[in-house]
Amino acid sequence: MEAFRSIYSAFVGKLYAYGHKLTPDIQIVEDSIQELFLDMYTHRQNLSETNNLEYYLLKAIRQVIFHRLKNENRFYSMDDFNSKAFNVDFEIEKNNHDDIRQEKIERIKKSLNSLTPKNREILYLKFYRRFSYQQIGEMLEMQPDSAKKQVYRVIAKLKEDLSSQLLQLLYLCFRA
Amino acid sequence: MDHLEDYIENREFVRWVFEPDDEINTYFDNFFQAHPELKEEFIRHKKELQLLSMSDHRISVERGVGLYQTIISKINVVGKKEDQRRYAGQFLWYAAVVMVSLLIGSGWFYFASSKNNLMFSEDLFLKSALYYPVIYFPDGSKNEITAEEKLVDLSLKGKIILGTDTIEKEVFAREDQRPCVVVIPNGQRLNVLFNDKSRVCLNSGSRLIFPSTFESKKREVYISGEGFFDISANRHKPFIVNTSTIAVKVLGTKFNLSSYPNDSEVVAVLEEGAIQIIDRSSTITKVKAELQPNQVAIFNKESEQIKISQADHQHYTMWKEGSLLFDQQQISKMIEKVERYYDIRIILKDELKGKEVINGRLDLDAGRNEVLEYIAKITRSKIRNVNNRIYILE
Repeated sequence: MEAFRSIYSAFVGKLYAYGHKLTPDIQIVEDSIQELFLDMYTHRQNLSETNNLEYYLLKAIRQVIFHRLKNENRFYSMDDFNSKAFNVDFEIEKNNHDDIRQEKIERIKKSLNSLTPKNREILYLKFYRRFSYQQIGEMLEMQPDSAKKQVYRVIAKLKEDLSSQLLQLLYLCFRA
Repeated sequence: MDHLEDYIENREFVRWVFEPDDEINTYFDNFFQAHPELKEEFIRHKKELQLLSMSDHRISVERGVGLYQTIISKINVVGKKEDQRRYAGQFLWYAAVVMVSLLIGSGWFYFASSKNNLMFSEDLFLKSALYYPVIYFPDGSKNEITAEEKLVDLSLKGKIILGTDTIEKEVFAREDQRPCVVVIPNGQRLNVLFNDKSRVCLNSGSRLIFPSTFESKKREVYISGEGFFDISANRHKPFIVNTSTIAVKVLGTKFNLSSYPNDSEVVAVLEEGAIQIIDRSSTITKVKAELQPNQVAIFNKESEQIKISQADHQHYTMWKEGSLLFDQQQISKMIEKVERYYDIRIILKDELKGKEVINGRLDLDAGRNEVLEYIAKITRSKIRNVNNRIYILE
C-alpha cells in the first residue's frame, strides 16, 4: 500500500494535467485516473517491470480516456482521437510579454496558432514530459522520425519568427 | 552548441525551461559557476524556448486526496481480505517505489514554513491505515493502535501510551522536524491527548497532522476529516486547527470541526467558549467569523461563502457517543456517515430517495444490521448483502 500511495502521489498531478488536455471533461479525467489505479492494483502481479513508470502511466491514461470518450461517441477512432483531442493553449496566446517586441510576439502567436492538436501534443510530450521520440511515436502511433521532424519544424519556425526582423530590414534596404 | 536544436535534446535543459524546481535550478546555478561564459547563451535560449510554454491545469491537493480516498475505498471493498495473502506480489511495487522515491527526490514537506503557516504535502497526507488507527512518528516509525481503548496519549514525558501499551519514546520537538500523523481508517475512531492536555476525538476516515509537542508560540495542527476538540486554555498560545480551506483559532474551548475531502462543506460547531474562523487562502490572517456557543458555521468550498446559524451542538457532536442526530438532513448525508462509521458501502439504487430529508436520532451502537434495517425502512427498500461490506438498497 505504501508503494501504491507513493506512486499515486508522485503521478496524480501529471496524469490530471495531461488528461485535462485530452478532454476538458474533468469527470472523465478523474474517473479515468480512478480506473487506471484500480486496474493497476488489481493486476499488480501481472505488471511487467518498467523503468519508466511515467511513460507507462501516461500512455495508459491516454488509452483509458480514449475508450471512455469513444463510448460516448465523441471520437470514432483512435486516429480521430490522435489528431483532434489534444487541446492546449500556449501561454503566449494568452499573456502579454514585454521582454520582446510586440510585433515579434504577434508573429510567433500566429505561427503557434496554426499548430494542430497533434503538433501540440508532440510538443507537450517532448518538452513537458521529456519523452524520447521513440516513446512519442509509440504513444501517438506515428513514426519517431516524423515526431522529431515536427518538433524541429516548430523550432525552425520559432527561430525564423524571432530573427525575421533582421530579414525585413535587409529586405527594406534592398527595396530602397 | 549554439543551436537551439541541440539544446532541446538536453533533458536537463528542457526541464529547467519548462518545469523548473529547486533541484534543477541548483544544478544550473552550479553549472554556471563552473562555466560562467555559457550563462548568457543558456539564458537566451531558455527565453526563446519559453515562448512555447503551455498553460497547465493543476489538480488541487483537496481533489487529489479525495480521489485517492475514493480509490482506496474501492480497493478496500474488493480486496481487503486478499490483501494479506498477496504478499508475494508486492516485490514489484517495491521496485517501483525505489524509482518513485528517486523521482520525488527532495520533495518532502515543511511543517513550519517561513510564513509560519502549517504546510503539508500530498505525500504526507496520503499515509494510510488499513484496519486500525495508525500513528506515524517524526523518526519514520509507526504504530498501530489495536487495543480496545482507542487512545494515543502524548502528555507524559519520555513515553507514549498507545491504547493499553506504553512505549518509551523521546519525541524531539524541533519545529523543522517532521510532524506526527495519525490516520484513522473508516470504521474506527481515536482519541489523542496532547502534551498541553488538549484532547481531540477523531472520527472515522480522518487524519491529523501535528507536532509531537507544542513548543512554539502557537499550537497548530492540520485536520482532514472530523474531530471534536477539547482545547486547554492558554491565553498566550492560541490553538489553530487548519483544514485545506479555513482554519479555526481558539484560546481554549470545545468545538467540532468536520472537513472531509469529498464533502462540499466544512462545518464548525461550538459547544463552549469562543472560536474564530480564519480564511486560509490569503496570506494575511483574516477573520471570517466568530462563533458563540451553539452556533454553527458552514463554509461552502465552492462559493467560499460562510453561513452562520443557531444549532444544537449535540447534533454535530453525538457521533463520539456513538449516535447521530439529524435535523433536516438529507438521507444521502446520513448514509455517508453510516458508511464511514462501519466502513461499509451502501448503494442506494434510487438516488432520489437520498434527497429526502430526515430528523431524529440514529443509534450507531445498536449495531450495523439494525442500522441498515432502519435505513431500508426509511427509504422503503430491501437490503441486499453483496459481501458483508457492500449493501444494496433497492
